[in-house]
Parts: sequence; structure tokens; C-alpha cells
Amino acid sequence: MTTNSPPAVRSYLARVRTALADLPAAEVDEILDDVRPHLLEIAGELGEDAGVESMSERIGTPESYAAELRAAGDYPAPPPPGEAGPARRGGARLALWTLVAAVGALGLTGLAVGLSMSEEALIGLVLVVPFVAASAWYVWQRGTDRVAELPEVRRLRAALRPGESGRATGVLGYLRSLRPAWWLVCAVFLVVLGLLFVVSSSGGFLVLLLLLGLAALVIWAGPRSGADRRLLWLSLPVSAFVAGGALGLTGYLGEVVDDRHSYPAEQYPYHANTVDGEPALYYGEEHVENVYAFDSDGEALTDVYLYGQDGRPLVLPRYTCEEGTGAKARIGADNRFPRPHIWQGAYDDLGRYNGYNAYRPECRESAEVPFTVAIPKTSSPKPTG
Amino acid sequence: MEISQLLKGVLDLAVLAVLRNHDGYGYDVLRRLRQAGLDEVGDASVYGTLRRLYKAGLLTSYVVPSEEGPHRKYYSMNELGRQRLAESARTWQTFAKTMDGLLGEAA
Repeated sequence: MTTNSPPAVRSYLARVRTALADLPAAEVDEILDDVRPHLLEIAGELGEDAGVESMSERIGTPESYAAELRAAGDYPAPPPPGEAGPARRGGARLALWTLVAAVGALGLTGLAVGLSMSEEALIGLVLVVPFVAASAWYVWQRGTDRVAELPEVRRLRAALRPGESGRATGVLGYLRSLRPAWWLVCAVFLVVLGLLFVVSSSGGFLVLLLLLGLAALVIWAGPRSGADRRLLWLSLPVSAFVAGGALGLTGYLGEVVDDRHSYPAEQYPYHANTVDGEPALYYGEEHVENVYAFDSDGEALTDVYLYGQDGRPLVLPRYTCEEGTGAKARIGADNRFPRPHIWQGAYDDLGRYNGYNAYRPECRESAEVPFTVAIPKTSSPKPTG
Repeated sequence: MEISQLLKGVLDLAVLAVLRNHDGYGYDVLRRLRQAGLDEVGDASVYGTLRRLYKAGLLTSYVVPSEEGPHRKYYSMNELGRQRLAESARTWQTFAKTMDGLLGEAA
């Protein structure tokens, strides 16, 4: 920072900096800016004898100096010696972030299970559980102290520490007071979810057993996890699963209710009506617009009136050619068949019908039957006795 | 009784008091405390206290370049700092009176 500081001052400051290495670098710079003039003064007084040792005799070792600074400045306590190495933090960090990832993954799994109510979605559970188990085993063996001393955890705890912001503390305190109820809610939800599986699917019994196990786990581990932080590795993942599941199930039930409402519409599909909103006639999927009737000799019948099995006339809209425009126009509705066949086309200037340049619309009605039929000559079998 | 024990509780007040009329950099503050008779005050404690008061928003700081050495970071008290000093001073005076009364009886 300054090129003209004597070596003694620089090495003393370097050791102070090392001792404060866990604090934010900018803050350490500020501290050293305050301390430097004083150290220069001391080094100046010591003159030729200036060195870290001689300075330490006056004001203590750089490490004790840093510790005093830390205490007076209300900075967090230093990480315990021997723990500072990143390698030794590796396991704790892995355990922590596995927990965080598992909480996220189980929340999503819960959401998927709730939304689909299918056993396939539970595969997520099977995939995540080994990771949670491994990280839970780690903290069970080594305790949570190492995790608690990770810089990220200490920062989080400092942020949540009561005192700074009164209202946030109040909210946190309230949420904390709800914890016992939450564990019960979790267990009840898991049992209900299991029972829903039993009702809705064949393999539901196994799922019920699994979820009953989880419910027992959360009832046991949840209330204890306040005192024994290791149990957070059990209670948090289950909580995430329940939270996701509850959200998903809400969506699922919402969909079921929606389906119930839309059921009548499926019974009477929209295409059962004509564009005029009147009932249409269907033969299978095919829309019947006209009906031709023949007698046993294959002669076409005219002016046939059609009725359904309960005597209701099979009324269809009747169309005719509109004079002048050549358009097809509706002139009413009745149950008399066959209707005249309506041809619609256009002529061009040379009188060619439906030619490339045709533009004058033409509409013709024809009472002729556009096809012939051959009625089988065999007499219909007479019903016996 | 060790003065250093007593100082822990009132170092904030002492640091604010010496900054009341004149801004000062860290070593200034330490010297003023020593000159006022607080020989026992730890160097690092003063610097830590300055940072804490600064982080609490009671002090502001500005840098003055220096010709012969490194730049110096001066601290000055803001309105919030003055309020805190007034409150703390009242608390201390009440406390000191109470202690005087108590010790007067005991003596």
C-alpha cells in the first residue's frame, strides 16, 4: 500500500492482516489504514531496533493485537486454529451444500408427486435420499461445529442475529414458535398423502409405508433438531418435501375440481350443434346434411318426414340459392327430406363454368338424386315367434 | 479494581468525547485519550472501537493525503454520534453519581 513503510511495519501489518483474513478484505484495509500511522510512529521511536519482535514488546504480537481489535470492533471470532485450511473445510462444506441441494430437489420432488399423484415421481426421492444420507452421516459422525464455522454459515447467522432489526427478529421469533406445529403438520400431510396413494393406485400400499416412515422420522427428528443441529439433515429435507408436496397437491386437487366442472361439456361435444346452434345430425363422426330414402325397388322417395325414436322431428336447417348473389341462404328448418342439392360455382366471361377466371357466382338447386342405389332383392327375414 | 475492566464499558463514550470538538485519525484519538489520563487504554481496542462506531453510523471518515507518510484517515462525529454521546454522557453521569453515593456511604 505504501512503499515507504519500514519493513518491520510491513511485516507486522502483514501478520495482523493474516490474523484477520476471515473478515472482508475492504474492512481489513480500513482497519490497517487506522493502525499504520501508529505503527510508523512506534517504528520511528525504535529507530534502528525496529523489528516485529521489538514492536511486539511494545504493543503485543500482531496476533494478540488482531484479537484485541476483533473484540473491540465486535467482529466475529476467528475460525479455530487448524480448521482454517480449505481442505479441512471441504467435508463440512460438502455436507452443507448437499443439504441445501437436497432441500431444493426434494421440494421439487414433492411438487411433482403432489401434482401428478404418480409413483414415478417418487423416484426423485429415491435418487436424492442417498446424498442426504451420506451428508447426514457425515454430520452425525463429526458434529455440526465445522459446518457452523463455515464463512457462509457465519455470515447467514450474523444476518439473522437478533438486535439489529427489531421487526425481522419478531417475524423470525414468531416462525420459531410455530415449529412444533409444523412437524405435526408434516406428519399429518405425509399420512394423508400416503392414504391418497392407496386410494388412487395399486402400488399405493408400499408408498403409504414409505410415507408413514417419513412421518415417524419427522415427528422424532423435528422437535429435537432445535437442540441437536445434526437432525436438521433429516427434518429440513422432509420439510421441503412436504412443502413442495402440499403446493403440488393443491394444484392437483384444483385440476380435479376443474375436470368435474367441465365433465358435462365432454358428454355433449361442441360439434353436436350446427353453426346456427341447432342440433345437427351425425352418422358416426360424419355430419349428415341431407337424407335420401329409397323404396324396395330402388326408387327414390320424395317428401319423406323423419322422426326420432321418441317422435321428435329430426329438424335440420333448409337452404336455398339466394337470388342475385348466388349465395347459399338459410330459409328455415324442417324435417322434410331429401333437400334439393345445392351447387355453387361461378362462370367466366366466356361462359365456362368454374374456369380459372370465373368470377360471376352461380348457384343452382337440383332435386335429382346425385347417385343411384341397388337394393338387395332378398326379402328381409321375418322375425320368428 | 483494574481500570482496563472499567474501560471496556465506557470506551465508546471516551472515544466519542475526544472527537466531539476536533476530528482525528486513529493515532490522534489514542493520544488524546492518553493525554486525558487514560493510560491503560489498549491501542488495538481504540482502533476496533473506532471501526465499530463507524459501522454503527455514528462517525464519518475522510482521507487526508500526507506529504511525509501514508495518507491519514480522519474520523468525525455526525449528528447521530452527537446524540449518542449526549445520551451516553447522561447515563454515565447518573451512574457515576449513584456509585459516588454508594461509595460515600460505604466509606
